[in-house]
Amino acid sequence: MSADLAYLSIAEAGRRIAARELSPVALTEAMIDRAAAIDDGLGSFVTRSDDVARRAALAAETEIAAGRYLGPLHGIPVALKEAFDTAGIRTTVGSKLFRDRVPDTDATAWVRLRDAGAVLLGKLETTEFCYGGPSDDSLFRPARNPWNHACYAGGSSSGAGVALASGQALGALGTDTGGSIRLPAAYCGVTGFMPSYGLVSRAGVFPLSATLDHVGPMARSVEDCAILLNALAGFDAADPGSVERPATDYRAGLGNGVKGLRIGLAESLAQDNAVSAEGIAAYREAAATFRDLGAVVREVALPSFDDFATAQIVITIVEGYALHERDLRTRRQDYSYHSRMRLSLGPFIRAVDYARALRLREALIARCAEVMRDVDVLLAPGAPGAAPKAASIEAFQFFKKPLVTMPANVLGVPALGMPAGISKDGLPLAVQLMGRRFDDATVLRAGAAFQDATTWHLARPPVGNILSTQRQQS
Amino acid sequence: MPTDKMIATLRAAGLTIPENEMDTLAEGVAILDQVIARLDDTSLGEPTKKSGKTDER
Repeated sequence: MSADLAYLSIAEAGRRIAARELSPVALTEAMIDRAAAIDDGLGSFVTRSDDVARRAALAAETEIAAGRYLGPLHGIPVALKEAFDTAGIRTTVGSKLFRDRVPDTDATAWVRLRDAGAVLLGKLETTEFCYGGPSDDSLFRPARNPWNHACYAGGSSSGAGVALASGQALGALGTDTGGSIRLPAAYCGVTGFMPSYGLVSRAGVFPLSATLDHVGPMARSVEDCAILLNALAGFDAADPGSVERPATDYRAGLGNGVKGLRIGLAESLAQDNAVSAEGIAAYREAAATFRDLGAVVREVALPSFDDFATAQIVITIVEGYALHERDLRTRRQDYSYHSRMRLSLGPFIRAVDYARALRLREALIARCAEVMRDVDVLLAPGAPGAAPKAASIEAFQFFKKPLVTMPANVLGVPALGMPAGISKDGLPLAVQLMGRRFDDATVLRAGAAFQDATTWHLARPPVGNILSTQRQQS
Repeated sequence: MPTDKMIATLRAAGLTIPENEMDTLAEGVAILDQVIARLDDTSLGEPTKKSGKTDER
């Protein structure tokens, strides 16, 4: 039997594994082979845990054969951003400061995937401390965008975007403080979901900004993100931001469509100073698609994009600097250029300005909660446009030209980034959907309806379909 | 921000910045000053539009 295992969805792989049509060992070996064949040129993995993966895959196969099937992640190969602690496996957060750091515990999010039967392929490149980059002077070189190696893969979950786009993992975990899940998803043409603040534990994940950081799934479809979220979501006392919520099946309602769903167009985020003409066109086309699907689409009056960006930038710098202050004093030159420049702005923000930024955030949350009484989800551009050249990214790029992904972090609301077009240069374009805090299920439902009606998420970069012969068992 | 004030701020924080990075950092501080200045705007957080069009097809 022949199939393209490289781009198999989690949903389909899970179905085949459950039906004993696909071996977790064969699937994992296919991923290992593919990474060995193509990743030297892409650099998505910074550590590959092949032996760990093989043992886990064999254990999954044995358990399933014995009738102990755990669910749709059992035997599924995934990978983690280098910010997630993994016991016994080096975790550097992409920094020379942590060159030899090997944690002795696992991040809660990984524990939850592992307990659901997932197989760990390895650790994925991150821009340094989830804030730097793309920098050639980080511990690891930046992962290369498989659509065009000269283009930025997006950050900071760069390796996750690249690994998924190039068919080297079926799912991944990323972190997002201002767009670090959604931006690499947009630039690499995959799907990334930032859950509501408090829904997924950040314990054991290296922080950047305690009040803006989120952990979330990345995959090649909304359905696969929902499958991952089902395992990830849940209270964790080890994360001070974690919130106890009723258990929800995020996959269950994905097929319910958007007929009658009220979608607000976030026009204040679709301005030409923040988003390219192509990005705005993709957003408008997505709005038309939702109308055609029966959604009630209307413009909404959000606060200005600059207001969100102001809050996000000030809060992130202060909270990031608070974490790095001591090391910046003593080991500043061990930070990559972009990281140390950005973090060194910390002393220039007064306590009173941080407090005003926090107050601004509260005002933005209150205003957007009013807007969300009249709509169920918001639609916005997913990125500033197609991926720019990596060499064009400056130290203060995202302060000069803030990201349209930042508002969701400020609000703590769920945000889904997904492919919605291809640029004239052949690069992915994206949109994002945002919802009410803890109404993650509605955001995912709308995203699934969009992907059912379009094929943008099925576009693949020209990596080469090298796995023509698959080791499958029937 | 004047260079001497910038250096004094860094010194008070215990940070030493090489001379060849000062110009770029000064650019960052200038951008940050603009961002912080927005916090003075009393209309922050207000909506940008009063109403929107609806398509209820």
